[in-house]
Parts: sequence; structure tokens; C-alpha cells
Amino acid sequence: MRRQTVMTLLLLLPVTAGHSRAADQPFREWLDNTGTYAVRAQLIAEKSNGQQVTLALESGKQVTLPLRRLSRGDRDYVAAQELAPAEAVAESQLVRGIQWQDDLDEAGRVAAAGPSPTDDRPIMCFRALGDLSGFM
Amino acid sequence: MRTVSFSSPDVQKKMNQDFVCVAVNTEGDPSAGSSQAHAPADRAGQCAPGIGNQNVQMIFMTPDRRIFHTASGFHDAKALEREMEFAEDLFEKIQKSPRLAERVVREDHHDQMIKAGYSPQTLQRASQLVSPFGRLQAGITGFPRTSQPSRSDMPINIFARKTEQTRMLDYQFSQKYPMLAWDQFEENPRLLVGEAVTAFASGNASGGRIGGDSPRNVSASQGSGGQRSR
Repeated sequence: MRRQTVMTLLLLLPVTAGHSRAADQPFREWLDNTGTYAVRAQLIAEKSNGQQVTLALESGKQVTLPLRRLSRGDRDYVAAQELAPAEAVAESQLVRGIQWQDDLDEAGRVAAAGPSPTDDRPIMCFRALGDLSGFM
Repeated sequence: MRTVSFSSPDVQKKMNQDFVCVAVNTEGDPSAGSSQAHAPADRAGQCAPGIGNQNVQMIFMTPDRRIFHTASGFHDAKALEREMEFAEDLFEKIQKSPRLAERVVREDHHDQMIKAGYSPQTLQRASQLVSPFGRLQAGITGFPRTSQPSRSDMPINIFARKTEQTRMLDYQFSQKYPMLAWDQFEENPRLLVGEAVTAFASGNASGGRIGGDSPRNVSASQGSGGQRSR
């Protein structure tokens, strides 16, 4: 099975509010609804009345995607988890620091991914000499 | 900024909740300055606000990548929070009145500078110092001469002066290029950072140098008082 992020094919949405899962959720293999793409990630939260889930990749990056784009088994797995207070989402994000998008195209998609234009968020671009994770 | 400002929990929280964040590496860009190369674990050096405006800029954009606010140079956590709050308010206004976006951007930046203590006369003079307004519409055929306000408007302290210069460049950009498309900006970042090429010096770098080889102007950062770099 090809190991490629499910999320590259899906709409990326920011984590905002909703129900958070337990912070000690294990990393596991997630499969998309076509059975083609898989990714190793940790369940972080669900929102939009259970229509979307947020996963944290092993790189620390978080992505939100429609629940329907997951395999049946993964949807059952999400449904079986216990709910935790939504505040845990913010705490989890802080532990991982700032959520940097991979590039401006992705940032634009995420920024405009709200249900309506009034839910859009602005992009904050840190334009700097050097690599965030390397020399700067 | 990476070591100091972005490690602040308040800054992190605001960046994550209210903005979509992305980093762009300007290495190789001729408009970027040069710097001693710092690893993430290096101790932060001292730095004054606005220093290193060729090397680092915070650029706030709409989702369709139109620039409505810039904050160039080093900003400590509190200053960065203030810039984010300003950007957030301005973005909300733009969303409410997209047709008036350019005017709103100009007016809000003007008001921000007035609140910061600049006189309308100084701001008007600063606006007139940039190249003619029609340059962008004409296709940006060359680098604009982003002049600075006269020395009499600037503080005597060299670092405070640099802080003011950077702030004025950001202001001039807002007045001249409100809602500029990112792609156009990337074709000519000197619209914001000017023509100087700065070298950023710090005593705590573990790497070699990064960026250009032949700086024309030097903005020393070490010992500039109170603030820290990166």
C-alpha cells in the first residue's frame, strides 16, 4: 500500500473549536475511503458536529479533514473514542508550538477553508533569511 | 525572533488561533541581507526593534494573498502581539468592506502612526518621499527609491533611528501598495525592504554566514539594548 498522506488530497482546515480526544491518543495508521492512501497520525479532535476530524502527523503538523474521507474502520474508531473538553485542543497545540503550513498555497487553502468568507483567517507569513528548523 | 518571540506561549496561542502561519526562506533573494547563521539552540543575542528589516518581515495577507500589513525587522513578543492585533482588526474591516480595502488599509495605517505620535506633516512628507504612485500600475520597471524621512525627524540614537526608519518603510509600503498581490511583491521585495543590504551581526552564532556576501550597509545588532534577536 502506498504510504502517502491522505491529507494532501483533502481540504485542510484549521483547528478551531470542538471536542478534543484524550491527549494520550496513540499514533496509528489511517486509511482513506478509497483504500489508496495511508498515513500514520494521532487523533486530536473532532469538530463540526463530528463531520470533521483533526489528526496530528508524526512531524507535529496538524490537519483537519472531513470524516467521510476516512475508511469505514477509521470512522468507527473515531466514533468509539471518549470525548474530552475542547480546551485540550489549545493545550495540545501549545505543546507543539506554532502550526506552520508547508507553503503559501497550503496556507491560502487553510485560510479560506471556513464555512463562510466571514470565517476566513488572515495569513501571517514569516519571511526570513534561513530555515525555521535549521540555521537562520 | 524564532528563539525569543515565537517561543512566547501568548504569541504561539495567537498565531495558532487567529492566523494561518507559514514561513518563507529568502535565502538567495538579492533583496535579503546577510547574517551570522544561528542554530535553533543558540543563545539569543541582543537586538533592537526593527533591526534586520532586510532579513525578516512579518507579512499579513488575505487568504487570496493580498498584503494588507507588514511588520519588518525584529519584534519582541509584546511588539509582535501588537502587530497581530492590528492585523486582525484590519483584516476584519477588509472582510466587511472588500471594495474599500485599499482605502481602509491606508487609513488604518495612517491612524496607527498618528496614535504612535507621528505628526500628519511627517507622515505626509514620508509619503511624498517614495516614488510616484503610478509605478506599480506601470509595471514596476525598476526598484523604487524608498527614501527615508529627513534626519531631523529621526532620533539621535542610531538603533532608535533604525527602528523608526523600519517603521516608516512599513508605513510607506502600506500607503503606496495597499493590498498588493504577493506574487507581485515577490517579484520585487525591495518595494518593502528598500535598496540597502544589511549584515546582521551577533556574537552567539554557531554557524557561518547566511545570505549575501557583500553588504553595502551594516546594521549591527549586538549591544543594541534590551531586545534580543531571532
